[in-house]
Amino acid sequence: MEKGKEKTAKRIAIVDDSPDQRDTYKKRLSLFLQQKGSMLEVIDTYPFTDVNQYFDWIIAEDIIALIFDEKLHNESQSGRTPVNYNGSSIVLKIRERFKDIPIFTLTNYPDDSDLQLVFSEYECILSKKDFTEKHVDIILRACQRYLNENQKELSQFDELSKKIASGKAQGDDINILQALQLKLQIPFTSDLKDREDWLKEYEKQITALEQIKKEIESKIKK
Amino acid sequence: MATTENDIKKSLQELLNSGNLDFRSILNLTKELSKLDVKHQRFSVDAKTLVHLGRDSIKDHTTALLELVKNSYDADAKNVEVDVFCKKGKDLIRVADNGFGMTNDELINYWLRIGFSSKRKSKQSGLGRRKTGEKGIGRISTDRLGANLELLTKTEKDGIIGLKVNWNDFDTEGKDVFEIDVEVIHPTTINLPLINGQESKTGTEIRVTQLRQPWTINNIENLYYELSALTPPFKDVEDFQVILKNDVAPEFSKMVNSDFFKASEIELTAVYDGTGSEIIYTIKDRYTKKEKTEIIQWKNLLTKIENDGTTDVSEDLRCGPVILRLLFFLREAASVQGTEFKLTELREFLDINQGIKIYRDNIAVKPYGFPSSQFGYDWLGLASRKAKDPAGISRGEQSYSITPNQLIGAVYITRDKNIELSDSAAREGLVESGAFYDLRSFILGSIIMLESYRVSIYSTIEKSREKRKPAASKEAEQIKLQLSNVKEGLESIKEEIATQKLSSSQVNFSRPIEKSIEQVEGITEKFEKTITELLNWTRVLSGLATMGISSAVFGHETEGSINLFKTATDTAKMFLKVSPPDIQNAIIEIDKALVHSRKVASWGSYALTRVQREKRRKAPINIKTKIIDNIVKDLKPAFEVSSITLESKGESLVSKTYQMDIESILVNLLTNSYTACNQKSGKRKVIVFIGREDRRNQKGYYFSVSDTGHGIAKEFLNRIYDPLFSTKIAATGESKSIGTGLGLTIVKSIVNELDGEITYDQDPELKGARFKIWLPKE
Repeated sequence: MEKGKEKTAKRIAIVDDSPDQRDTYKKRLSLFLQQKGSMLEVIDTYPFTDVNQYFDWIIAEDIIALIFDEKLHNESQSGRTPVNYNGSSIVLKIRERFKDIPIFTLTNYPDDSDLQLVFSEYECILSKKDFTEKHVDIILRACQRYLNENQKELSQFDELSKKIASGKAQGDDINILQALQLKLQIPFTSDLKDREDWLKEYEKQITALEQIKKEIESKIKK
Repeated sequence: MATTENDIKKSLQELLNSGNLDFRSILNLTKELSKLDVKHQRFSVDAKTLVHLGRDSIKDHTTALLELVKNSYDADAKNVEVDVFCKKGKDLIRVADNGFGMTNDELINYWLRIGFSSKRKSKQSGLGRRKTGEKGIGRISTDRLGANLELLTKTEKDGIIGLKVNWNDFDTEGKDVFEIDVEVIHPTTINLPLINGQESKTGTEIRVTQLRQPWTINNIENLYYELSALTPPFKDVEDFQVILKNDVAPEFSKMVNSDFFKASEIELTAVYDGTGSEIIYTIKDRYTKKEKTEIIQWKNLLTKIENDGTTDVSEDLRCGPVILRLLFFLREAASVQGTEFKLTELREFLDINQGIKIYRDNIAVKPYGFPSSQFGYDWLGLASRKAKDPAGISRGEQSYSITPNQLIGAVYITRDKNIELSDSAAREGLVESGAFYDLRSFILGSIIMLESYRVSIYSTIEKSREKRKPAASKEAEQIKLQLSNVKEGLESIKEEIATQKLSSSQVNFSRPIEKSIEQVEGITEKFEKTITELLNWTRVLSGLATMGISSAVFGHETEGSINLFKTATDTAKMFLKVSPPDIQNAIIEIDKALVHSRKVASWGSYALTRVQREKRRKAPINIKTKIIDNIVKDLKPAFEVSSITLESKGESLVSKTYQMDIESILVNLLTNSYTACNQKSGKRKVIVFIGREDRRNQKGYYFSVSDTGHGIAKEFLNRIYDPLFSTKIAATGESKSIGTGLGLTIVKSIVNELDGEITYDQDPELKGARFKIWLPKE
């Protein structure tokens, strides 16, 4: 995401090695989304050489659904040589971290055997030959479900964070929060136990200060 | 019967004092007397127990008979005669050996004592044989064979003595075993196998009559091969010979032998001495005849597995010292060349003897490696291994595996040195312990050794077998030449007839000849035409096949263009329908649609022009500008989509040739290069180069196709021209093969037709494959 630009809309991302196809299907999907009054945006990219780049990219770009071409290893772009993986192998990699993000494949060869082997990893296998409004409905429904689930979890996350910060945490609260952090891909900034300790330490300091204050006051009285 | 102690004592006294001792009555009375013992009592054994032990616990009559032969082996017999006669009123099974026989004492104290085995007392026989049966069960196994048993035995000490048993006597309720009499006999003659032509001084003859079941041809056949398995085929126990005689399957009335082993392709011996990490291998094959010895660390071949699935780390294999001999067979006619066997015999032998058997002290341990055993036959799981990866040898050493029916093997162990390999409580098999797993791994590792050895010699074998077939066109030329000779001959006969003045009778005679000559001429011409047409057809078919292969590969790209053509047009329409219309984006989409429609069109024209009629005629043509450059131009767009730069270089030259042949060669090679490039990320390039080159005083030219792909692994080089062999796998390394295995076969056959040569090497610049086609210039 560009710096300074405020995150306004969630996004659907298209990954395809062919610039022509990428562009056409991005525009087509955007048009359909507009017609349906959706606020979702569509972005596209040439496949990344380093597959790990996808993880940061998904978070940074606020991506809530992915559409991969299957044969990603054909074309090269602006000095970059073709990549060495296809859609059905990258989907397995993405699933390691994003268990339930909607992932689609949009391909010229929906019957490809590699693709069929991992079909359960996909929300749906879409054919480039026939990409219509109906298919956009499928994509939209998947996005909505993903957002709902994550929103529920986000609000729970918010609530728990507040509880813990105010020292009212009980029993499993910290564990639940950690699990949510993991699921929502929120990076661990500090250990929560430390925070609690820190608060206790902080309170101690205040008590010490108050004592000093009392001592000073009593000395002044003398 | 006496009931009080005093009555019994009195009766006993009377019996003992009588002149003729009535042993039976004395026994019965003592038994009654002993029952009155108030301090101790004794078990008695029901006679029927013997029937259970003998008749019911032994699987079948073959096994029962084998037990008797095993006893002969244990008795240090050198020769055993096994007779089975059950046809035409005959009713006899006879096992006779020239072993050490039994003395009177032995017969009464040992043989008649059920469950007693002298083998338990002394484990080795006089000849140093490790005794095979341990459970003292052989004698009652005769009950399985027949109701009447006559046992005759001869020793130097006691001469000939014998026993007669009627097993049916035991098959009654409520009788004690000792209540049944076994008759002692003293015959004057005994029929024993000779030793070196001499009558044997010792030995045993067992005759069973009133047979329990008839013997079928199958039974006899099984018996024969079980007997041949009983004596190891590897000549280690050649002092033990069995002669089988029977009236069921006369073809098996012969000395049991296993000479078939001469027909093996590869012989491997592996020796592990019981300690340390080294295995010594010796391998020999029937082609190179050289014996090769290698020492290998077992860790390089196998992993030890514990019962719980973890690996054991100690240096020794727990199975103890093992010698393994493996014989690898092919079921082909070539295998019996130079041997006395027929192919059908070899096959039958393999069907029956296949499998790897364990020989403990030179006697086979069932069920391992026995073809008739459901679990034992493929106890190493070779069949399921092959089923998982059925690649043939031409696929190279990584995946080639042999099938269990190609192997005959012997694993030698001993009871004394392989203590860990103990018998399981059930009658057949060893306990599946760590030691057993090690043994199995050792064998599997050795099989892998054999497999890679076979792969390594495979190309040599194939070359020695390969006969260069003349090209089809050459053969056709030959036939044509012969036909025209016939035609000329006929022509001259016709002229002869025409120039001579013939009498009317001669005319009558010659007319039919003239007619036949004309007919033959007509047929000859037709035949010539057919051959030419057929050759033309081959050309078209090669061209079409090439087209098919390249369509399968490049067609994918067309599919993308067709889809985009359609989708971009439709999207342009959508842009025009929005309000206000987005003209700029609509134009971009229409432009894209146009570009891709042209790609589809160019593919169409490429496909349509491949097999044009004029390309099938032999004519002078500029190879570079008219053929190579055109193909390169046609295929360039497809290559570019996959980021492959396709170039043609070299000089322009003209030769008389069939355009379609050159195109088929080129398209096939380019299709391969295209796939090879796609399998690698990074820079992708394919170069076609053409130049002049004379070979063996023959003017000629060549063209080469080089690429940046992975090249061809040297293991595959011998096989790449074979039909259906393909190394084309999906770009991302998954196992799916995308090749048809026909491209290079077509190339090779066309090059042969054209009297050319094809060579392969690595391109020095692009580092991938380079195929070079040389053709004579006409």
